[in-house]
Amino acid sequence: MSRHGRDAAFPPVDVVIVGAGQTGSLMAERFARSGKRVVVFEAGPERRLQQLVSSQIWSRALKGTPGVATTEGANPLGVNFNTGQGSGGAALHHYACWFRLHPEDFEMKSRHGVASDWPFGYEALRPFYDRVQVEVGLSGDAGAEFWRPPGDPYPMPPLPVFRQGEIIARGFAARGLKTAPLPLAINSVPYRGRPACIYDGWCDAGCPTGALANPLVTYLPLAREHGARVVHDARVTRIVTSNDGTRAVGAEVVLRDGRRVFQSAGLVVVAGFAMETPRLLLASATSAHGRGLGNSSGLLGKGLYSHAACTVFGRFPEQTDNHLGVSGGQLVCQDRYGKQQGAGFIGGYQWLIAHALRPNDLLGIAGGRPDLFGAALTRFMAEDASHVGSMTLVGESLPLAQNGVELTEGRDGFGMPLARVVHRFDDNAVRLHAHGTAEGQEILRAAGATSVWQGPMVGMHLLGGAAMGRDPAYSVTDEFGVLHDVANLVVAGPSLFPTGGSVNPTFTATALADRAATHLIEHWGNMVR
Amino acid sequence: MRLSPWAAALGVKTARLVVCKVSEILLGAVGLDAPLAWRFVGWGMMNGLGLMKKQQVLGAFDPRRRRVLKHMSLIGAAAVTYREAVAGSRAGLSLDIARLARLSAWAETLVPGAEAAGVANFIAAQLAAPRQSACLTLRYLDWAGDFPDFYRRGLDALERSAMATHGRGFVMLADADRAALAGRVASGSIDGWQGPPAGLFYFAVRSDAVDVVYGTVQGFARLNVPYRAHIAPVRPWPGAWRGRRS
Repeated sequence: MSRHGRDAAFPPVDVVIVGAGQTGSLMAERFARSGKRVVVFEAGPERRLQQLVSSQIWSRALKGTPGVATTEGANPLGVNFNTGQGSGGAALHHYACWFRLHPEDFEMKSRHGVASDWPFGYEALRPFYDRVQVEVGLSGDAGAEFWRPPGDPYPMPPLPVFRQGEIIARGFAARGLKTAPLPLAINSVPYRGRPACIYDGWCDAGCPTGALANPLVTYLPLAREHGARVVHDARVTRIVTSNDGTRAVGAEVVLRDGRRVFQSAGLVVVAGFAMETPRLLLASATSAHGRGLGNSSGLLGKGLYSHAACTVFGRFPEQTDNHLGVSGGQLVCQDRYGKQQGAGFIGGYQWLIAHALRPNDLLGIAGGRPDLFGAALTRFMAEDASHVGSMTLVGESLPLAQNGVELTEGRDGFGMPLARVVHRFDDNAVRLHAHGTAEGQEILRAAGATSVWQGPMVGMHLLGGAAMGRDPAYSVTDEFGVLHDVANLVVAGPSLFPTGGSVNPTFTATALADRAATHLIEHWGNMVR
Repeated sequence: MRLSPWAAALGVKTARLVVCKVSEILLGAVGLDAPLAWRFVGWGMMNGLGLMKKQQVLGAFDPRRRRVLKHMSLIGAAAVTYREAVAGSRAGLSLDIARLARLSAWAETLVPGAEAAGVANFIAAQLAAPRQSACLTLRYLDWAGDFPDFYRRGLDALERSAMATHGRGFVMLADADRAALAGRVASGSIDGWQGPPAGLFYFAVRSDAVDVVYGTVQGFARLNVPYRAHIAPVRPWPGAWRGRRS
């Protein structure tokens, strides 16, 4: 081992990327395609499609990194449930509900006096939404989405609506609310060499057919095709900076065999998702960056937030065929997306309608009635399970300064500090949730449900923690994810979102990464010495 | 001589040893005297080896003893689980046989059918796996502590509650008493509970039990739900005994 505590150094590359999830994969593809030498370090194991067993039990190994973080606060976030490990990251088991943020979402501060504005507006991101949706393959009906921001139509028609969706749609119609096919990164028809979905509802376990656009069938193979090297079981423990702290010079990584290696790079991209990204930057503190890299504002790790979500269930007289479809749902309603509902809160919400359900697991049918056990549970599963319909409220919540990711005294097996994730929902979100779920129960009753119930208020998606902005005093990165404090160190992923609207974030995170990569490649000479 | 499957798998000699040892542990735990204990041990061996019909045995004892006998089968299941889990993992076993038997009984109370579906094997196999690979709902619940310790402490707390309330261990409780205790644990507010949060312990084990009863290929079939796997699991869960069907 060298005097720096490292066993070896790899040959220099142009770009080192931390994390082989959704945005890391896209970044790798973009940089490799532009001719850059790219290496991706992924802390988890290599995942292959043929390993994606259709089982809610087996698929748990895809999720989270147990033991890395504690989750605390009045509303602890489901860190492991929302994250992933291994190639594909969380996107390997995501539900592929791909929405655009609305123009209003970018201006919450200037329009409504809450949270922060994004450093740019919807129109700046629109071309990247349009480009990514063609590359990835989105199915939907743009015309039927009355609320959809301007943009190119989807490249594929929508997925079919099954009986559960038809039943619940009756309730929305009865209450004067509109529904539209859910926009999904799932093939409704064969697309770019990938097959169409067969609607068996195993998305959450990881889709092995290639119908769902997870990184294993989109950007990761393309990145490799263009020469990017992806190293698995490689935990980056530290971003190394120059002596004066103004530039990143590479990353320190612990490999599968235990060797601690230095990887020199011209540009470093951290795409570790909302918990691991701030953890790594905080753990890379130096004398020049005593509070962590990119933390001169003191905001790194702060303001982590999540959508305020709740699933509402109904028992219908008829069978709902709830095993059919996809995990994300069949329909969407965004009639309540507007920020001023006149109900005592700021912000909107949407409904994801008619999920394909499994009997077990956290979001399964039995999980929806945790109060039942013994003979009552047996009776419920036998008599009611096939009659259940469900839908999920995705509600806007605002970042709170006291929420976030911080380091603890403990260390993991690589010597990295462990993390503590603290979260509570803002009062605004609590009011939104109460209003929305009451409406949801009424909708299901209007659809004919003979009984309705709901799950708890939970966090859905992890957002923020390294928010971008124009002012270095109030943000961590610029509009392209480049740290204000370190010129060639970039963050990718939903950590960057100043606000998150009330839609699933993967489409926006991907478009944002595309925009950043495009900019960085165009300005490579200025960015990298 | 017809051997029950587990006895056949285990080998008669080993089976005798295991049953004797397990019986000692459990009978000791419920405070039975040695002669009576050994009668049960003998029954356990016979039942385990398929030498005596269960009904004949049950008819020979009073109701309280019947409960003991019922759980001799549980012991057998726990012994099988012990063997399966040890065989299925390179690490040791995190729960001893008495706790496995209690775990089976607890899970059966929460989700009928869990014991036969192999809930103790499921949990033991996951606890024997590296933490990164454990396929328990506890993983989703972000339990920061040691996974085996979560179950150990929960099961011990359950046992103390059973003893405090009814004067006997959980496996010895009548079904109604088990259910009543489960309700109190589920509520999260149970006097004297010292372990992981009671509500969380209830939820985690209930989820485990739901997994094995309803979340497998056989479980779907039980509900008449088509499984329609893209890639069918070769076994119901990682580390499952090879003999268990998905």
